[in-house]
Amino acid sequence: MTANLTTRAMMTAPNRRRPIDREKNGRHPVRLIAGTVIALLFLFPIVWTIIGAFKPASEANASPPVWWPSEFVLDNFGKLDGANGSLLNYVLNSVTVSLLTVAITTVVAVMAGYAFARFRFRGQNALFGVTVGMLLVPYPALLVSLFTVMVWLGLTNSLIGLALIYSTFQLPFAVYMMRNSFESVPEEILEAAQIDGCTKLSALPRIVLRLVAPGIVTVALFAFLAAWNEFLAALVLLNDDADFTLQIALVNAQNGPLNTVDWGGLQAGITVTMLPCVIVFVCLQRYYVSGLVAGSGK
Amino acid sequence: MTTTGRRRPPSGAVREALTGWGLALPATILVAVFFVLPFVMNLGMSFFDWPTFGTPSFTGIDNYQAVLTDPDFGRAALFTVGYTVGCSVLGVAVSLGLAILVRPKFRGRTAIRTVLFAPFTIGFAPAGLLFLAMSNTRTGVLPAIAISLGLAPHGTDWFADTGSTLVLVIIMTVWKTIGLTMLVLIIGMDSIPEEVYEAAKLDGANGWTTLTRITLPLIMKPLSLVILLTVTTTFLGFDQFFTLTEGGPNNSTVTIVYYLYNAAFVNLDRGYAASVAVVVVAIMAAISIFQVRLQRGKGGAS
Repeated sequence: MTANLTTRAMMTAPNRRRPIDREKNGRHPVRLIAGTVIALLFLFPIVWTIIGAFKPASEANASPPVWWPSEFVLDNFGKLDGANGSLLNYVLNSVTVSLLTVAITTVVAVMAGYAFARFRFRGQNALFGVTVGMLLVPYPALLVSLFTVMVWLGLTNSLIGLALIYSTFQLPFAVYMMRNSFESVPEEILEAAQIDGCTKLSALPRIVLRLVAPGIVTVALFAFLAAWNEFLAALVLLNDDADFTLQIALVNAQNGPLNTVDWGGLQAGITVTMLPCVIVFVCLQRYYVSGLVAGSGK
Repeated sequence: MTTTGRRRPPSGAVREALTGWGLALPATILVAVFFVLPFVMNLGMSFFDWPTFGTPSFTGIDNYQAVLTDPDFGRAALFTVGYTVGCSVLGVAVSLGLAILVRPKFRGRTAIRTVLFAPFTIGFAPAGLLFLAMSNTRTGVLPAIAISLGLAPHGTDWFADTGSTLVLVIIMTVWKTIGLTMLVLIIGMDSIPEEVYEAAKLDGANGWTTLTRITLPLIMKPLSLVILLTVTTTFLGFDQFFTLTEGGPNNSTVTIVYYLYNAAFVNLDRGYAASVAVVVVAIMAAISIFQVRLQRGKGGAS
């Protein structure tokens, strides 16, 4: 569709061309200034929260708010500890769930993606259809029955159970992504591998896996961010604060004793929760963008 | 495909199918246990009175009748639609503006794009709490700024009024999601050949004409993806309301998923909640089909 429109627009355009004005590229003071102002506005909530995390209790809870703390202290980071869990526990729980999700999602999606891209077997279209069709059914809608299933399986209050759910609901994107990655591996490479004595299966770890590494990083990145940030399923499935992920621990900090909120403690918790994602993203953003191109191009 | 020209013995085809199935098996098990099973169960549960403790009993379509006639459900649906429309209109307008602003190459572009995208990586729950910390009456920095600018009287409680609460949540949502939608639009715009713009410029088209006659029609596909992304994430909004508004004031900011959560895990009425879930799935399916139709219609017309 877009291609049609593009050709049409190009055909209706006059058939004259001019070299692109290189002078102007790279010098846009208006864009730079406007962009910087907007970027600072977007950054403000994040910076405000990080500063708040280091304010002494009296200044973090002061009314009207104190803009710049008289000193930077670490006390706030100890205020999220619950009866059975500490901030360190919550961080470890979040890391465990996220890494488990990344591991399960990538292994399962690589295997399934390879199967869908390179093997012909009965039922593969139906299987692929159901997997991608999951996108049409929002998982919050399935939470009631999913909870019942988890009770049957004895997987409530279990970080593994949570990771299995997160992995499953990452599969539509992950399998789709990996299938496309495997399909873009040139046919000749696989044939050469088979001539060299590899079976299609043994070519996967030996040769093909390295070629789809960017796709794997993209899938892992999406899985990590989704698992780290998921809230509703964790809220429903985790009841013991020893198992809480950071997201759930934060809400408990919000409903502090006597219904008072310790804003410094809350902001410390938010800082610990949001910074890993921002850092992971900044380091790996090109993989995120390539995932988006793959996802939005089709 | 790989074996054209070479004939394989039948046993090879069998082995191929078995290996294929073997590789797809883990995914199949996960999808079957954690998606297909709950999906089918949910359909079944919706026809039962299914208390958390006690035996379920078949009640036919009673649950659906109860859902569709509950004024609270209607209120939640209406509020969710309002929130969705608000986020979509503001989100599309702002992301389009930002995409146009930061698409061309200029010094500092990468840094600015990265900052604009950063909030997207923060979860909705911490993002909601972050805005709660910034906008509560006592210690919030946003009310303090508004008061010092003379925009609000002293002691203003933004969470006491449905309108200002909604505006706040919409601003938070746009702040958090705009990076993604902006990026999708930039990717779409980058795929438009530079010659098209050059030609338009030669024809004397001004900025507005270029936008409405060239850019917009050529990014219809990413634009409709942006709308779909915004509609689906905001229509299913829960985390941000649970943390930021707790449904208040007076349950006026309860979304459909929040309503579902309350039915299932506060009122512990699983059968009723299951029928709410079926209604949600039906609405989402309708939105997706409508969106696909809209896109096809546009494509066919050209």
